[in-house]
Amino acid sequence: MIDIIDGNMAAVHGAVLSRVQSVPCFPITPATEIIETLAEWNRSGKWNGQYRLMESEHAVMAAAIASEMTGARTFTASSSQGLELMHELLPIASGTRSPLVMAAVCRGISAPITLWADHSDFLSTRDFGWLMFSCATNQEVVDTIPIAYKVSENSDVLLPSMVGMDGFVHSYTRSEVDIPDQKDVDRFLPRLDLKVRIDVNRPVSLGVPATEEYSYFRVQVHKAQLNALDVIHGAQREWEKRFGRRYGLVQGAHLEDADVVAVCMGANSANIKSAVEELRRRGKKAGFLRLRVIRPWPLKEIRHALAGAGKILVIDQNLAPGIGGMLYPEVRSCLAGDVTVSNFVAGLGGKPVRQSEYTGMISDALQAKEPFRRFLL
Amino acid sequence: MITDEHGLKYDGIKGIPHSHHNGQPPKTGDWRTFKPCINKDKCIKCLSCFVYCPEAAIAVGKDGYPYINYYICKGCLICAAACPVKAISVVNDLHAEHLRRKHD
Amino acid sequence: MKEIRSLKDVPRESLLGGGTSTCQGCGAMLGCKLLLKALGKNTILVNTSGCMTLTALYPYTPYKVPWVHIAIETGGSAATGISMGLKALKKNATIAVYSGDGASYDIGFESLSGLAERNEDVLYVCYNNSAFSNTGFQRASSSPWGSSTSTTPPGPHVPEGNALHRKDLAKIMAVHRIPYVATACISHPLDYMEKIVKASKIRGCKFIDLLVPCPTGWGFQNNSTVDVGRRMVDAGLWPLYEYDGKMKQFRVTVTPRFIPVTDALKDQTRFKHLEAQQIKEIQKMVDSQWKLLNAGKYFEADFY
Repeated sequence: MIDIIDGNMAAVHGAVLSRVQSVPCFPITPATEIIETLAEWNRSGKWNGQYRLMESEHAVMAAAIASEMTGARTFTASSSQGLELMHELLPIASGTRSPLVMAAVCRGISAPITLWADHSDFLSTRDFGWLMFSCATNQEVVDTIPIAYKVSENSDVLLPSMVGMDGFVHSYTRSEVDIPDQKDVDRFLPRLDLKVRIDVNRPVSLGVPATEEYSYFRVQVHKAQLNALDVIHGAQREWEKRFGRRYGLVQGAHLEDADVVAVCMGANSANIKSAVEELRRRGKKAGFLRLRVIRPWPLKEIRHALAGAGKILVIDQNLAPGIGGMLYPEVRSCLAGDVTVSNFVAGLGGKPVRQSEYTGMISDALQAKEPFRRFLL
Repeated sequence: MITDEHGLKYDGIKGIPHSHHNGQPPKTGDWRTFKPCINKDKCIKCLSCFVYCPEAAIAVGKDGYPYINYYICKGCLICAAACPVKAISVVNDLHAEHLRRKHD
Repeated sequence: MKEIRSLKDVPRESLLGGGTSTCQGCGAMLGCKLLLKALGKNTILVNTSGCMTLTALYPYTPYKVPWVHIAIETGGSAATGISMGLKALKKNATIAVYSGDGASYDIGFESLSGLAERNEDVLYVCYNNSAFSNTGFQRASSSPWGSSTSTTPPGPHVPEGNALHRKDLAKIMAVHRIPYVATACISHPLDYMEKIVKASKIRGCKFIDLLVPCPTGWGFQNNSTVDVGRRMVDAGLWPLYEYDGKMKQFRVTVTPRFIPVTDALKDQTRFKHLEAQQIKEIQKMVDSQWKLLNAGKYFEADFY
């Protein structure tokens, strides 16, 4: 069914189509409408799940992990400060192997406190063992939530997932979305059947402390992440068969003969792709690569996409003070050989970036003999 | 890769960090310096020791008398203190098996 | 659940397998054992980081019921999550939280308040050894006035050790309008277990503040746990009562014999530093507290 909806509404559709059973939540701009809509639908009978307003995002994540441990499919949404408050519990979700899904509406982190989009909140959680998907359109949001459940709940993975979208640019901007049919999603995503869970008939102790075996269990989370690479491919292939929309771990354009490639993620990727096409019209051999899956890190796909380009520009809409953009070192470390990789940190806190800034920076990266790092202040 | 009884694939011990209650518990009986001994002749089967034992190391037998599980009894001696008729005597346990082994 | 009127009524089946890492004579372990005996098999036990967490150390667990540990401040929130999950799956079980006083009075207070405010159908038992015991006995907001702890050691500037009065968590829970609030002590197991059975029959949030003497932290012989608890109750230092939230009725369930407080405090190393004058202060606090309690004035009384 085609409708014109914003990203938050797309997340609600994605969750309800996935037949989520339990939603503990807390309001935060720009994700609030997700939980408001779920409250309305819960009260009108449009969605029959357990809904609780918790006292903080920390409580939300604790309730989400506990709820998932009972074997109920759990969903929540948060952003920025909420995501930061959840930090203690995010590795607990992945360490206890609880396959819940969270919509992460990307927003810049305090201080100074801001409301507008940037990826620092989302990417600051990349060390915690969650699978991370970054969407570029509202359509992708509706599609990625069921895909995330399918991947998370796979017994070779059993890790929680975050589905990221940009605050305001996606969350409050309406665009055309083809909302899948419930029956079709039901055929794609079966009911959750967690083998190790809270069950009075088969009592187990969950979240137990470990001494020597701690290291083993942490490495198991890493191995599960690596397993997820194939599982994501499989789930996305199946989604394409059923719904006709293809997704990869990365999305590339104009890469075959590119001399310089702009690597990015999120909503601004649309502007960056335009900038690349503008450069092509001017005769410059520019290429475009958007990262859709951040964790597990799609090493093979990135290497394949960037092979042949001598110059790379990683465009980070996030900042790790003291080192630079967060995607930069991750992309750089994939690449061997004689490549000049530069970094452009732009769009922090939703700062609008003109297409001319992007074309200028990509051209500079093409000419650069030494890698540079520039900031759009 | 191994597939465990839950159908989870992992290599090594287990995929998900969890514990089942099966098998022998850790032998906290090794903690004892003193050992409580119930004198059945004096015991009035009031079950105070059974109720007050923090470790649940005292169980009630079919004959209604309390029995101490020395594998887990830590020797805190709360049972001896709680017994209203002083039917639980306290015996030096320093020559227990584990200490003998240490000196060999 | 059957009524537990005498020691002979205490259920024989043990839901704990022993072999835990708790100290010899641990009051909290006893409290947990009695809780599980009163609730039975159809129980899910939520734990928060503290002394009781290391009872289940991979690959072993003594618990024969489902046990969940997430983080220190998640007692109330994890219980809420389990309640949501069970309702979503149309399953039924008693959810009980067994959480330390540090986790309940301080770091997990927000989550406990949320649980009470939503009136979730959960029994929350706070095992109160009056400090953050697992980390070596540091002061928490549950530590009584005059208690020495590793972060409030007595010295020339602060001779009483802990100069702050403790938070009255049970009363705070009562003001949340939950249907049942009680205090208990492991020295009075029948009173404690009766309260658990009574609470488990009520729908809504129930709170029990359970005093658990701690031989390691309070500083007494390992065999005296029950005796120290009994003396704390008998001196009036730990009133045993219940508050019926629906009828707004306060009732003392065990009348103390009112032995002098010095008899209760003397064998505890944590009070060894107190001078006669300071013990007199404590006696005065206890006397004025009981004057109000005996007149049924629960909310006006400042608990020691």
